[in-house]
Amino acid sequence: MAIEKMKRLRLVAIKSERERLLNELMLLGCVHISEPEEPAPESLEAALFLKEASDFAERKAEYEKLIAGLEILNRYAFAKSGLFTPRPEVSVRSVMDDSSLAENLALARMLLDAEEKIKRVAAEESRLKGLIETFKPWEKLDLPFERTETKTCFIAAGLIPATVSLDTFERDLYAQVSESQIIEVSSDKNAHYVLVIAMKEDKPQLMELVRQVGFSPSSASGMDGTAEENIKVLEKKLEDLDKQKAQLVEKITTSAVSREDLKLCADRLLTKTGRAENAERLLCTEATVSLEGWVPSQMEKQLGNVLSNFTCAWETEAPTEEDTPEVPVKLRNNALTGPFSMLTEMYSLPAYNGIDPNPFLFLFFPMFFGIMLADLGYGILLFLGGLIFKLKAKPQGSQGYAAGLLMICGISTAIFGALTGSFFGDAIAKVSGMYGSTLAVPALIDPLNNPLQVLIGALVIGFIQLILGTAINGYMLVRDGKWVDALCDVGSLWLLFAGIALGALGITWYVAYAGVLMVVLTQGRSSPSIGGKLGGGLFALYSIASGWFGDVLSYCRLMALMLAGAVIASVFNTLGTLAGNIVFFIILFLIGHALNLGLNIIGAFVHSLRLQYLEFFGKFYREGGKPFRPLAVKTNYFNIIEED
Amino acid sequence: MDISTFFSTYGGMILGILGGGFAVALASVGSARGTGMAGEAGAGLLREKPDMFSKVLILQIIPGTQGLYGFVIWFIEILWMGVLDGSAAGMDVYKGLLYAVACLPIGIGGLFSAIYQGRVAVSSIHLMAKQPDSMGKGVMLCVIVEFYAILCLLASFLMLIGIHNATF
Repeated sequence: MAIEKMKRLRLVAIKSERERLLNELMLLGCVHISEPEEPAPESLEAALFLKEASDFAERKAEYEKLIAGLEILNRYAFAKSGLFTPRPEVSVRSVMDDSSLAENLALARMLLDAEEKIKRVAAEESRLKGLIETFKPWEKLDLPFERTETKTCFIAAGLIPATVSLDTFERDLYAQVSESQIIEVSSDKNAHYVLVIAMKEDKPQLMELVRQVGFSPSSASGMDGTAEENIKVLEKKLEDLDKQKAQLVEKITTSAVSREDLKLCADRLLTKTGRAENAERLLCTEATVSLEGWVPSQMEKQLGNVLSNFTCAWETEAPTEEDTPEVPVKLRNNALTGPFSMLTEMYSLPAYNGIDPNPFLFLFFPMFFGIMLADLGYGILLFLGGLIFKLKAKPQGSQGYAAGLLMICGISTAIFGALTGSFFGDAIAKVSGMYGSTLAVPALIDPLNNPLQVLIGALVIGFIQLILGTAINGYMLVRDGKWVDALCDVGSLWLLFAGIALGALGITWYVAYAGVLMVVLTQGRSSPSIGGKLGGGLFALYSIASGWFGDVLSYCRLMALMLAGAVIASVFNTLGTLAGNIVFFIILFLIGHALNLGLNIIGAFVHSLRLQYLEFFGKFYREGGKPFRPLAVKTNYFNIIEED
Repeated sequence: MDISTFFSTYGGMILGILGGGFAVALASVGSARGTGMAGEAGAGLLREKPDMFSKVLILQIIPGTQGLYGFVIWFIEILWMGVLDGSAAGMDVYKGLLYAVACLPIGIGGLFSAIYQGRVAVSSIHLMAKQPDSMGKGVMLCVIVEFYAILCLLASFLMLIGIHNATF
């Protein structure tokens, strides 16, 4: 709901208590330790305080090894985990525990090793298979390859391209060298596999002749034994390799029983990695450690309770204005605005002196999403999907937020669907039409027959959102004591719009003139010269006119996506009714609406988001806050439960 | 039947059917090209990372929607022209021409937007090869292009509504 107030924390403790202190802070999970500033070289601080290397790199490497091991397990012994299976729960103490790390690391190493071996075996196998392929065409030949000559003749084994006709070539050859013989061993679509035999003294002439038709010596020549013998030996080797591979895979699959242990250890190492990363930020002297960081001011008391168990000195102070860029930002949310945090973070966190946009996103994002999807049936499906996911999988963190977002957007989609009388498009009317009755769903808005109404509605909603954006900007300026800026930037704009409204209603145009004048006079005020001030003002007037025109028109996508979805749904419903058969209708209904729903969810999500990010945020948002990353227990595979 | 009777009886219908045919054909060619390019890139990625199949599939089908839009417009057009129930014969030539022209936006817009979207999808798949978690961003980039195909769909559809409801 708001940006959490932070306090700067400075802490000095005894070095011997460092590990215990870090552990306790980790359990508390509310201290963001910042990277210490580099002290000026040759200053007293530089000589006294030293950064101590921690085992971060080592822990990280171990963690990555475990994850790689888990991936191998999943590849060879796939464990089906449903979408709705909740993550197992584990206590904090057990995540902080160090036992069984060593054997699990050894297991991970074994898995990596086994996979490496499997890869090597596979490479060898494909090499042998290639060899067999070269021997295959010669299988029928019972002449060993090492026999390349007799007392008077030479023998050459080789390939002639399949495009050459052997009969013709044979005739040509015999005409020129009468004591020669070409024996075709086999042929396939690429080549003829032939033996060329002739008298030794004819060899140069003959080889020249065969080269002319593209003869190339076989890669099998020069080997020992017949092709058949070679193939047998190779196949025996392949069999052995297969056995080796099976053994290795077996070795991997039998370790699948320790999958959960591996996961737990991975989470333990992740936590350790986080702690080591933070430990590197501590500055140490010989006997003390000191840290600087941030703590939410409402957690100060709990922090005090923890620190009272340690021999340490600490203080907190509220950040000054110069500190603002450094203060980490944490958004305080309730159950309703929480899901929208995800969207805010996807863009960029607000600056510490900015404003938490989540309540506004809660107001507009589901509304836009609902307008774009606008279908009672789709809305109910989305809501149920989110609800079932939430109840069954008990997701935490971002997945939990996603479930919440789905439910909220589902409700909004259902509401707008009811307003437009859309239930899976016009399915009710179409089905009743199939049975000869005309059942029409009552609708407040009819987008297909009165799109202009929807277009105007969309632009009006957009204009309201943009005006709200300027109001938020004004509020922030006033809050920061910049009254003049608020009056000039926001006031002049409002005066202008109010004037245009009055003028359009036919009351008076003078207010609008005053607005124009105010914009021109105030918007160039940062420029030093009079000409610059006026020029800046005129340019601002142009920017306002063109910018607001484009921004408001951008909201026509609300209407565009609403209609597109309705049209496609209606077409599938109509297609279904063509055969006049309810079974056919149901089949097309399922396919068509699954497709339409999938397409439109993506479209509605992205375009609602775009309207927030580009149009709405553009009016007020101060971005660039650094995320609050406290030293805390982090897990990927398990949900943490508090123990009493 | 002489040539003028032929044209006055069937000319409008032929023009209309031609227009609708181009809407679905052009848009489908674009989609085939877009999904084809994305499919090639996806297959390349799958050789290295077979477990990303579902993500690659989603990125591949995104440029496929233009073909669907073309089909939707084609269907609405022949439905309203009366091709399906046989009442389209004898349609005035100018009316058939109107129907045909109304189909142009989704045909042309669908053709090109699908190809350009396919290129974004290809890049997104390459992006995913480097950063497996960036599928959401890739989808977003693709959907931005999608919007212009939706505008074409709507332009065609709104014109069709107007022509269908008009009393000439």
